[in-house]
Amino acid sequence: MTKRTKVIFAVLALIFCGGVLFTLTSVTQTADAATVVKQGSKGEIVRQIQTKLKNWGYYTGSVDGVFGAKTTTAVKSFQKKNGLTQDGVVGQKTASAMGITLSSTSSSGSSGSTTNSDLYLLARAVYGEARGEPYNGKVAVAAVILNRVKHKDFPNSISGVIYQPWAFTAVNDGQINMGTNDECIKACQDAMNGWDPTYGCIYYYNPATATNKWIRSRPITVTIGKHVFCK
Amino acid sequence: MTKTAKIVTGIILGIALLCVAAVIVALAVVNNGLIRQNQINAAYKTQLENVYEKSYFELSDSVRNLETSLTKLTATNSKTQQQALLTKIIGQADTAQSDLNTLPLANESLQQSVAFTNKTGDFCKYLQMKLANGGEFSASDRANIAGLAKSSKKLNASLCDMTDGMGCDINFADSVLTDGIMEGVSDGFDEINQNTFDYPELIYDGPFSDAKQKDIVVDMPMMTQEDVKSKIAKDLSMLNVSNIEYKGDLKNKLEVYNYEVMLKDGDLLYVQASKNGGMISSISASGRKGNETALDVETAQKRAEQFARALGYDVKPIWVSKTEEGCTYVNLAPVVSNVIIYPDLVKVSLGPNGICGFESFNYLANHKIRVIDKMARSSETAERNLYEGLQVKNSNLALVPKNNKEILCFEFECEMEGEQYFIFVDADTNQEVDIFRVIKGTEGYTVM
Repeated sequence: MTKRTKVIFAVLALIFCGGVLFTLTSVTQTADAATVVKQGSKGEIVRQIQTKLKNWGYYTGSVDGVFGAKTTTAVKSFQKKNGLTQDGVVGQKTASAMGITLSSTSSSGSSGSTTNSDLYLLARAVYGEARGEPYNGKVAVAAVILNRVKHKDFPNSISGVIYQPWAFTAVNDGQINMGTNDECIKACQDAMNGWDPTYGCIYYYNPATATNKWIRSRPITVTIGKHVFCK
Repeated sequence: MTKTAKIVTGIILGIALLCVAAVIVALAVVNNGLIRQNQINAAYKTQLENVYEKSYFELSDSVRNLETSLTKLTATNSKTQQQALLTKIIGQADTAQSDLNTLPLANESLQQSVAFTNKTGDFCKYLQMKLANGGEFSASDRANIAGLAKSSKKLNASLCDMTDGMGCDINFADSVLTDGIMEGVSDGFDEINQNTFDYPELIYDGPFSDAKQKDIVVDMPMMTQEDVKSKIAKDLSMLNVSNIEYKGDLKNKLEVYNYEVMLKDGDLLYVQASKNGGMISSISASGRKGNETALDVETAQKRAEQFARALGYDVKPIWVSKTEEGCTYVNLAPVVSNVIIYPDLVKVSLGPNGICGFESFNYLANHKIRVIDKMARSSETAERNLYEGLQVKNSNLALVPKNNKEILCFEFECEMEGEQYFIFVDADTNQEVDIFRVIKGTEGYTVM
């Protein structure tokens, strides 16, 4: 082995070790990365935080789901009182001290202007299933879920229908946890108030992606956007 | 070997040793991470399996109890026993339905079993109400109870066979995490679907009634989509329509044509109109909402009534509900001889920029010329029967849809301890037919 070869070998070995250690560090960091809620965040989780802080006397502003300067100050006061780092950011430790669980989507997306859990759950399902569809397609998906609640062959609650195993792709692959948006919430409000562009459908599928032969045998009543709705 | 060469070799060997040590440490960390990950995965899997198995065994218990209670119900003549058993059956059917829908099986495998539990629970609720109102089981009620008991016996036996067949090999979580369907259980339920439920058709299926799936035909002449398009252009003239595009038709509970209506201000409305008569049955739009300034109640009522009348619906505003987003929903119904006709409800939603929704399925499905019995009725007796803690604010006569019938009722708007209620009392029997509590939420005022 020449001197140059030995040097090259040593350099390569160092790069290899560095790479291994860097990868390990990155993996660990990714696994431990905590979702944070901070100034500028919006949504239901912010409402939860504001409600808790208000109940405990740290926050005097309105519970509006918008993480502003007042919320930041209240979070800092809470952190100080509880021996946490006073950064005004709600990470896993602060959330845990508040008795709140943070999810990967809780701080983004929705304006979260609802306190009705059924409406919010329905809107999350519609966002996961039909966020790219036209407005009446969103109403139609919400209406199908509500039609199932009323139908004898399905569970008798919105949560029962949505979380029925294998019923909705967005539940299986976790897209239901992506949050929702104003248009989906409005579409769900319309559906809950009686709008049903499908007039009683209890199934829908995307013909481009559906693999279930059974569902394809259902009588089609209407196509809205990319979804085919059937009885 | 020169001294320099020795030093270089030493450094290289040292570095190499350090590298080996680093690799060993790295592998140890990775291994530790993998072991930890496997432990976490195993814990998740166990928790998942426990949820499924709890549901499966709870289902078996509920169906066994359901069979026992239904069989007992066929053998008793005591109203007290009947009430007690019906209460038990409703709870057992509800638990069984909930457990069935937790199992990781395709809906088509479970359909008949879920329908059985829903229908059983609902039929028993009907019987319970019948007894509470002083009635008793008819011969056909008893025949239906016997039919349900027979089906529950078969379902129970099938579940026992399925459990015996699987022995200790039940493993829902594995199947969920691999191919998604647990064959043994799925086949078992497929067999149950085909062979178990041969009970007679129930006279009353409650809110899950098959009858509700019946198609509605509007009693008006059939029109072509072109003629309907012209009609809706005229009906919606107040909205400044710029273009109407036909988007196919729909045949379900109601047969309608679909249209996309573009307005001059750029908003897009999705409009449906009945093939018979070209009556606009639904309008929805998203772009016309979103301003935080909601209309005041009077303006909303006035605009909603004008709009509904322009579309050919003879209705008056009955109920207004505002959402936090500035959207106002107005419910309207015909009023005949001072009686509110609730079965013919029409709904209009208004945003600050104008009409953004309309819905009239109930009107199209139920509207007919009604002759209201004008026999003099006083609300005083009915009001005397209300709970004394209620403060009556207002009363009306109203026709109310209940159990596939229309009942003439006194509608009492009441308050008690800060809560608002609507109580409907049968105008002939003075019995309470329904009670709604008004709930304020971000989606407006709703009744439950």
